[in-house]
Amino acid sequence: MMKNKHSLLAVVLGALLAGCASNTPIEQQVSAPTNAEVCCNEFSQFPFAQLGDKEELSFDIDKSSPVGQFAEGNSYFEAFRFSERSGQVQVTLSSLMIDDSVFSPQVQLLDSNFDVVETITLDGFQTLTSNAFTRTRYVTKFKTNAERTPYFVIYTPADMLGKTVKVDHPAKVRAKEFGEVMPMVTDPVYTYQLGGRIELEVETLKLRPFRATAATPVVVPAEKVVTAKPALQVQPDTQSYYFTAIETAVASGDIPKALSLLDEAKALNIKGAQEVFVKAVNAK
Amino acid sequence: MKKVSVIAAAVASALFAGSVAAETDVALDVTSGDSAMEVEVANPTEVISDGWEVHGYMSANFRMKDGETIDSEFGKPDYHSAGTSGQSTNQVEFTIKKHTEHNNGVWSDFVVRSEFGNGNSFAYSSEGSQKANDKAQFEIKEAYVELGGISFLGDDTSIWSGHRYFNRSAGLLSGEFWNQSSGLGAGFQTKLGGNTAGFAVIAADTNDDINGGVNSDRETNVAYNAYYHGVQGLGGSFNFDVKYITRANKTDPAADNGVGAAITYNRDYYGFDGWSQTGIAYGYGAAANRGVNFGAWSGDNGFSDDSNSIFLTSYGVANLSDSWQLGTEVTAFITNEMFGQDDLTRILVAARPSYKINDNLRFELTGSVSKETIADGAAWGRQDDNMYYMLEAALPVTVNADYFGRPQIKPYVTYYNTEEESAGGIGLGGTDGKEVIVGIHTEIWF
Repeated sequence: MMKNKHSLLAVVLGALLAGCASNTPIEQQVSAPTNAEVCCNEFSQFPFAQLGDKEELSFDIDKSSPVGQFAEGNSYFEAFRFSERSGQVQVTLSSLMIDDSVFSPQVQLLDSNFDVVETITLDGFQTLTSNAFTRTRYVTKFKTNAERTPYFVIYTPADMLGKTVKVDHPAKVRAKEFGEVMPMVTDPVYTYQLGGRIELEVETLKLRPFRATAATPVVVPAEKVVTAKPALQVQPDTQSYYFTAIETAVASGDIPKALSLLDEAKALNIKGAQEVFVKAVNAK
Repeated sequence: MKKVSVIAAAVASALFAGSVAAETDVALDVTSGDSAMEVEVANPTEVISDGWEVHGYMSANFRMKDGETIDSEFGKPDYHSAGTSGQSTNQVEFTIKKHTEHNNGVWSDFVVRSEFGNGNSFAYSSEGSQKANDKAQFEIKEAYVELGGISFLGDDTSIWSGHRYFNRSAGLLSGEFWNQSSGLGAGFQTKLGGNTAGFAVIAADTNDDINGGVNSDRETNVAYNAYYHGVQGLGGSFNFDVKYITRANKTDPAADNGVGAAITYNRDYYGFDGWSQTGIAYGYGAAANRGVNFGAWSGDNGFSDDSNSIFLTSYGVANLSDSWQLGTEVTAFITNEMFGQDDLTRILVAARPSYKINDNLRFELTGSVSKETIADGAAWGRQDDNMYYMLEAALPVTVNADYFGRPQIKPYVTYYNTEEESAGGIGLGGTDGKEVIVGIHTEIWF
């Protein structure tokens, strides 16, 4: 028995010595991407991944993701477009806490003009502690109309980077739930970093009806109306010239010239030219 | 090319767009936040969240004394010591919880807590079945349903029924439950003045009943609990519990009934960073076992109508720095009559400083001093006045495994010390009262 005690003591002291060597801290990625890395100027230029009617995706947001400029700063992001068959959808979004780090998620829903309709901040997410089959995570569930908001973007606000969140140790969760003895444990702390692992579930609750060409109201094509040219009004000088010329031509016996002048006057819409000719002829 | 009137085209497109705008608004249900936006589909019983959660726990204490495995807890349940002296060698617990939420705010919980091996202190091996006796088998410890948010009851009201370990509190270092109502029962809980209020009726049969067969007269204990929790004040919050306990078919000298009450005060660590819980409880008759500690043992033949007790406890954890934590407990149990002993007093003072060496290693030192005063020590194999000392050093090794919970292997060495004549008080009867126990305690939570 003594031997056992001595050897255990040796093991304990050895472990203490080994433990004194501090772990090299894992480098944390907490500075927002620079402006040079920003991919696009507006939402409409974002690369949107096309979703199906029913999706269960698990993906990473990391340094190979595109960078966008958001109100809070630059951020790596992933953008999605709902299926064209989806009407009402239910979306479940989780950001997993792994190895002391977590992606603090923020979601923006965009309409078909790429305007932001709704923003879901971290306050809209619940913290779900781990159980036998799941990791500790932020999770939110929302319903939206894919026709009205066909696009959404997941990113992290740059002002959250480097901040931390403390989650109850599973022993504490059990103690609180069942009134067990509260353990003396240190709660795990997770730092908000540039990227993380996201799980996305999309379920189409209602399909979008396909709209055939809309029954537009019958449009009467405008008829081609040949409008009469507005009547030409000659100068008074011109009128008097023609009257005089007709009279002179008749007086000199040049009837063809008088008739020609009469035609010209009629073409110019000079009223009274006919009467002047007749009068001149009768006066001869 | 046919010229279409620009005006006509504009009118047509406006009509088209207008039909889209007239559709119902976006329905955004954020189930977690406080705000609930208008829901497009008015189906109140539609399930909006549903799921199973599986949690678990395991405990195995590998320890030896003089070359043999041991059953003794070295007086820990009697507040004589505060070391790592749990009996279980293969205790495994699985808890399954189903939580469902509906559109109209109704929610339901189904909780099953199953456990195997709580209190088995043998080292089992690989042949056939483990043992022939019927102790600590696979058991269903808790199985109950809770429903809440029902409109005609009120959004803050919930009702429950089944087997439940209800409203429990235990000492940090002694590990002893001093406040609980554990048994088969039903209750309802609501909010009164912003604080939690409730009433529950819980029944517990004695061990003799359970082993005696279904048709004998049962000495069933019943507790009628009224409670009011969460009253803010003095920098913390107060819980009030009152229990009326009765016993059917009681055999003398057990008490017929009794009343117990307790006030619990939760706050930070007495003004410093951390947490603490302080309780004071009083009970008489069937409630003389710490006032509000109800279960199969209540109204035991050890407590008569004349028994009464006062129980005081205060424990908590101080976060001294990022690496240092300090857990402390002070507990006193004073009763005029218990199991044939008059005037029993037990006082325990224990402390556990804990130092985090790195993310995977901690160093914990635990010390406890306990005093027990009884009228007739000899009847219990000890003196009338007893002092018990304990010192333990432990090195918990943990892995920050996010996924499959947090496992912990803790080698420890414990030194118990008392006078030879008091040795019976900490399970060392017949020895000189001094003993060193070496062991490894393994746990995992998920």
